[in-house]
Amino acid sequence: MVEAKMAGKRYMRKQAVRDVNLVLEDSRVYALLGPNGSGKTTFMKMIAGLVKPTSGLLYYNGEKIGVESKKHVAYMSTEPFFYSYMTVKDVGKYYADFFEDFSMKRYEELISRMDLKMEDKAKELSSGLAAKLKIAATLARDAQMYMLDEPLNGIDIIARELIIQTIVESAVEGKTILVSSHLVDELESIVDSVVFMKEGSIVLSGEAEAIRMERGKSIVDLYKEIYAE
Amino acid sequence: MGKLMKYELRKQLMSKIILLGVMALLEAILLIGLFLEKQQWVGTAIGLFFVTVFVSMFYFSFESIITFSNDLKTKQSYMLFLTPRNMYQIVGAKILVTIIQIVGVGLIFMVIGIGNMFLVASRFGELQELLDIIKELIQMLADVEIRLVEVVYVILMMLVAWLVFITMAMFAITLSSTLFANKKYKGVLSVVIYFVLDWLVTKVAALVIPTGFLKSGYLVVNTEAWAFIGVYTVVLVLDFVGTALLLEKKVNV
Repeated sequence: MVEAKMAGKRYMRKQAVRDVNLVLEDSRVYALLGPNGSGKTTFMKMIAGLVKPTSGLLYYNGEKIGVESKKHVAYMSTEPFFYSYMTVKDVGKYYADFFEDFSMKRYEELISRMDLKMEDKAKELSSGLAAKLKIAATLARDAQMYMLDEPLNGIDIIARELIIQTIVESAVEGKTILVSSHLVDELESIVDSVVFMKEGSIVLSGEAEAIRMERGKSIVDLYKEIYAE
Repeated sequence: MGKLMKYELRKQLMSKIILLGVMALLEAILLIGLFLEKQQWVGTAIGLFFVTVFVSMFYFSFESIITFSNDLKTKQSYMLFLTPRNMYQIVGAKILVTIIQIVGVGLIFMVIGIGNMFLVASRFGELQELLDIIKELIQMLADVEIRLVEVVYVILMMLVAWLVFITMAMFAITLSSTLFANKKYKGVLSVVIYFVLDWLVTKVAALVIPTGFLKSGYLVVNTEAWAFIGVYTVVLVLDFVGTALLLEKKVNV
């Protein structure tokens, strides 16, 4: 479980994340929504331990973000990040070396499903295939929490279904999934809860169904309403 | 930490492969020269061998620093900083790999160099004489009987000073990434920070290390050498702890 108490991140003059109070519970799929620059990526990186908060507190299972949380949180960034010398197979070996929860069998299965080959060079992959590789490496971990930053970026419409299906497969009992995207309509059907971010702050959060009922609108319509202002 | 070291070595493998290729080529020239009794070929191969030694030792030091800098400024940093390892292990692995590379490559150079010297000496009598002259010249320049203990002191001092150069550069890069995050000129500023730190350390070291460190060409061992090694080891530890602490608490990737 992730708990943020007035968590914030400031870069010189820019407040990227502002006073975020949020609890992400186990066994739920969360959509982190907002346009570019709303603070989604920074917030995810704070949970992943890549970005340090400048204010407030951030906990994973009651402990500060650090080595222990990294063992249980699988983060997939929106940008490609594998070493340039690596092949698809090397990526798997690297994950196997560092993450106890990584399953090479599951990785091979996902790689095959994503139409990738083990001998492919990671840096030579098209943006769509590179995105699939990131997803395969991340979801081959049996992590307690998955954070996927814009997993549908660069993926064609047909493959998106495959990606969403793979994410849904990972959403088993006890796992927390946090997915950021601006492709709201693609996510609406699979998420339990939504978090809307705007200019670094959370402007709306809660159970997707309750919000729909309360506001009488779909998440997509709410997205348009919030960010059109 | 072994796995961190394995991937550090892998990241810097290409330069070693290139070096291996160059060394193989030079050895081939040397052996063909010896076989055909072409002294010019042998001389060229030996000359290029020394240039290769100098350039590669210099380059490997910088390569460690460049790799560290890339680990902070490119998205590849996620590979390293997402791993469940603390920053002392990450920085420690980098320093250990740097030591292993330099010492390892240095030893390989030494073995190849000595091997080649024997080869050449056994083939050409004249070159044997030349080697004797060089040896005498070195003796004259040093104007001192080479004692093992002094050699050990010199090697230790060089090693510590060289390690301080690497770790101080790492600390300067980390400091720059902390103070000037997201600034385009942080690379240049890290160089400025390095020179400021180096100047400060030199000043402090001058106060602590007794004067007359080198007296008329004779190395004054014991106190002075140990003072030098001691001071620079403290700087080394401070660089290491400072880098790891900043990475742990402040640096964003």
